[in-house]
Formats: sequence, C-alpha cells, structure tokens
Amino acid sequence: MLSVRNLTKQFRDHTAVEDFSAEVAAGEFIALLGPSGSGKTTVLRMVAGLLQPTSGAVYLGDRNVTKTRPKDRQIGVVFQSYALFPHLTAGDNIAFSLKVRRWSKQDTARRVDELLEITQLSHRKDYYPEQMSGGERQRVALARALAFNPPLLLLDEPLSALDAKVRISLREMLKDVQRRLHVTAVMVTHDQEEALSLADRVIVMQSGQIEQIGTPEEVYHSPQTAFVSTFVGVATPIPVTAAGDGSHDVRWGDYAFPWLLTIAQKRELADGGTHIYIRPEAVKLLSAPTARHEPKGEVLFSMFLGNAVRVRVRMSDEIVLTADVMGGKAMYRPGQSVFVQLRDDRVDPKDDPRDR
Amino acid sequence: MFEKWLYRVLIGLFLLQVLLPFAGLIQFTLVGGSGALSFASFATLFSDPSFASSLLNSLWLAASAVLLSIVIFTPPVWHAYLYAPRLLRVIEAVSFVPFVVPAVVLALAYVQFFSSGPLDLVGTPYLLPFAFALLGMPFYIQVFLNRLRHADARAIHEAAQTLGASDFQAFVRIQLPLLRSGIINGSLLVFTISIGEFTITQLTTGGSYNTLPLYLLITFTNNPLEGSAMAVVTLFLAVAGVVAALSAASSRRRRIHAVTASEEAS
Repeated sequence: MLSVRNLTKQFRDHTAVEDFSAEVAAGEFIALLGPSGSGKTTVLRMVAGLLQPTSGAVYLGDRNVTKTRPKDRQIGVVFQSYALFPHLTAGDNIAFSLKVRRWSKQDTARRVDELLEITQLSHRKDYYPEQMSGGERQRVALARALAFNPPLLLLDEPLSALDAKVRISLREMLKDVQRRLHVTAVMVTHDQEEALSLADRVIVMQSGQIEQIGTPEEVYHSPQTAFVSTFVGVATPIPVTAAGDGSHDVRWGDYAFPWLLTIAQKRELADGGTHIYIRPEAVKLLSAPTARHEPKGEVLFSMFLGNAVRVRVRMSDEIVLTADVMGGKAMYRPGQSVFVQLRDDRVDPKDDPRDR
Repeated sequence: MFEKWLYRVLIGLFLLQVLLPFAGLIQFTLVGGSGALSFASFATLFSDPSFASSLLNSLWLAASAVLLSIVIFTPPVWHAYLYAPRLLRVIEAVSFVPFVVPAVVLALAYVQFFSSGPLDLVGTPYLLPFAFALLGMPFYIQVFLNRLRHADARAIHEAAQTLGASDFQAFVRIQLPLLRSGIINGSLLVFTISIGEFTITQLTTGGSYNTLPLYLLITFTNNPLEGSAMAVVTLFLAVAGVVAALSAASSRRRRIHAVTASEEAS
C-alpha cells in the first residue's frame, strides 16, 4: 500500500535519514520507533509530502507521489501539537477537508457526526479547541485527519503530550478506530511500550537508519542489534566468552549456560568476545547456589512495582543487573547476597536454539 | 508588611509619573487662561477650518501607512517564518534599522533620494505613507512575529495542506483568522506612529502639507496661552485611549466568546 524506497534526506551539515526502505501492507499499523534525532519524524514528513527527500521515492500503491504536493496525496496526518484550527469549533475542524473538497452540506454534516461518534466527541461538537482537554483535542485531530477517508494515516507522536491515564485509554481508542476503518497507519513514537502495544510491525531507527523491522514479539525477544536490545525494553548487557568446547555455550565466569545467540553475536563470539542482553524477567534470584555455580551478587536496592519487585543486583564493578521478581513476597534488603540464574526466554521449546 | 507598603508607594509613584502631566494638560485645556471651567477651547478648535483639513490629512496618511504595512510586511515575514528561518533573521535585523536610525536621518535620506530624477516627490505628501510604514516597520514586524510564534502557525498551515487546501485557501481561510490579532495590533501601532509623526513630515514637505502635529506646532506658536493647542493634545490622548481599548478588546473578545460558548454547551 505504501512503499518507501531508498529515502535519504540530507540537511546542510548532516544526514537525517539514510537509505530508508520499507513496505507497508494495506490495513497494517506500523510504528516508527527511535530516540529523538533518529530521523523517524523526517521519514514521516517525507511520506506526507511536507519535506522533499534528497533522493529516493515514495509510492502509494503503484503511484509515485514523491513530487506530489501534500494536498494531493490524500494522506491524513495527526500532528504532535494537534495543530487544530483555533478559530473553528471541533465540528468545523473536522469538516474542513470536506468543505475544501466541496462535499454537499448534508454529506459533510453526516460524516462529521459519524466521526464525532467514533471518537466519542458528539457532546463537544460546538466547542473551540481551547475549551477542550488535551485528550479531547487529540481525538478531534484524529477525527479531522480521518474525515476525507484517507487510505493512509500518519501520526507524529500522537500521545506524547498527554498524561499517563489518558494516554492508555487513547491508545486503545486509536487501535480500535484504525481497525474499524481499515485505515493503514504509520505512527512515529519514542515510547517503546506504545510501539509494542499498538503496532503490527515495529521499525526501530537510530541515527537515520533502520536497526530492525519486525513484529513487536520479534523486536522484543530477538533483537538483531545491541541498540535494539537496550532501546526496546530494559536489558543489561553482560560480557561472555565461548565455552571452549566448540559448542555455542557461553561462559560468564565459572557459570556456563546454553544460550540462544543472534547471528551477530555468534560472529562476535568467534572473534573472542561478545555481550548478551538480559531482560529483567529473565533473571532468577536464589538465596544459595546450586551445582551450576551461579554467580553471586549484592542487592543494591529494590523497588515495588505492584505486580513485581524490581531488584538491582551488583555483580561486579561494571555489571549491575536488573531483575524483576514476579508476584513473590520475598524481601530484598540492600547489601544482601543473592545468586543469579539467567533464563533465556527467547528460547522457544519447540526448536533447538543451536540451530539458529 | 513593610514590603507590601513599599510596593504600594512604588506603584503610586509610577501612576503619578504617568498621569500627572496628562492631568495638568486636561486641566489647562478646560480651564485655560480665564480661570473658569469651559469647553471654549474645543469650540475654537472645531471652528478652525485648517484643523479639520489637518485632521483629515493625518487620517488618510495614517490609513495608507497601515494598508501599506499590511500588504508589504505581512506576506514576506509569514513566508520566511514558515520556510526560511535564516532569511527571517535577516528580515528581523533589517526591520530594526528605522528604530535605531534617528528620524531626521531617514528624512534627509528621503529628501536626497526623491528630490530629482523620475521620482521627484519631495514637497508632495505622497512619500509620507511609505515613510510612516517604514517607521512603523519594527513594531509591526515584532508584533506580527510574536503572534506567529505563539500560534503554532507552521504546523497549522501544514495541517491545512494535508487536509487538501491549496496554499491560497489555507492562507485565507486558516492563516488570516489565526494571525488576525497580530495584524490588528501591529496596524494600531503603525496608525498611532503615523498620526503623531512630525520630523519627516516637516522635512520632506517643507511645511507645505498640514497634518495634526504641524497644526499643533503652529497653534501653539501663535497663542501659547490659548487652550486650543492643548485641546489637540487632549484629542491625541483620546485616540491613544481608543487604540489601547481596541487592542485590549481584540484579545478579550475571544475569551468572552469562549465563555459564552461553554455556557451554552453545559
């Protein structure tokens, strides 16, 4: 539906986006995830036509729209600041694209009412933007962008200006509306939780380049680069060495464990060293070592998270592990000694990790 | 407690400093040399035909200067703000030139440039709207830019474009209403500057063209003790008051509008 080919954007002294290519299927929800300055908004603006790429092309279906003006692209855009028209009511904001397209009065009114209902804003039709809450403004912006039935919807950090509770409820509404209207959506966000929970596929970006494209599960459980490991979710890198017997087992001090390694890590391991990335939920804390000689660490502090207790464990001067202990009532006091078992929860019991 | 009183005293001094000269002026206008309260000075003023003509002259000059400012300054500043931030910095710097350079210098430059060749305009009033617009430029551009910065104008313009509006449609239907208060407030400043301008008027027309400030000077020189000169000044004050009220109203209107809308809805 949307095809972005070798998009590059060069600003005066730096390259904001370099050789970005991605295919988006009709009805898909894509999240462009990355830290600020990673070029994700630049990609979005080039797709919208608000920014001309230095090279590369944007296709909508089989139509090359690289040189098409934004007004002729038929793409709905939700801006980070909402960009509502302050002198128009919610209803008139939503009707704007239809008036520009010379829809009849009745059709316009019907469509506006329909969108107000979908976004649960019917009671705000005659309100001006400044009279509405942030969440309501955001919903007007969404309704306005969808009014003319665009096949593609672009969202630039749509939820970042809202407080936590509103953000969660709007996230659900956004997903629901996107499914119901069968609109293809591309959302820019720096919030990995938002990306993982909303998107069918996530494109992780850093320094203007794609780090990984995959489903939320793939990006979380099989990160292809060190950047993805640490940016998506919490992960502690720990240095390991090869077990020495030719297998892919790795060693951490005296503690040997079978581990699922990415291709890049295997290559690195062959060169004499690598890191593996440990998620908090993959760390198990024991009060005494077993026959496998689990490494010993010292509790620095613990935090109560509600459904889990997050414990920071100092293993050595360089390594501080983060462990989430689910549901248990165990207490962890600073200074207490614990022994650490590491589970690789990327291992799918159906397939042998050594084969990958 | 002491601090509270200190602030009150300072605020009192401030108000005295601002209001005392005006109070004296109004008192002199109404009481004059005779010692009795009368509006005679206004009667004298309004019966003077050269007052009416100078008032009209000043009004059309100021109105033309305002029109010129809106037409000449608004589009480039808007365009530079949206698409050429570096050009905007140049425009901003240049816009301060009339503020820094004394009016006498500007006037002499005008006289020099327009006193010969195809543009022999010195001695006519037709230069004055351009000169006044130039004098008002730093104020107009700053006020307008302030509104642009405050209004998220760029994102709003982009939103209008993605919704299918042409540049022209987006400018007329969205940007103009969005930036209206900036244009109005900037225009009011150009208007007041134009109404009170003396130096350039005197130097380029050689006193051949009568405006309010020139009229004021002549009346005052002829009858310093007559209240009519002061009456002109009083009128100036009234104009300034109206301008200030208009300016305040243009920002209050929205609020009132908003409040009534929310009452209707609830």
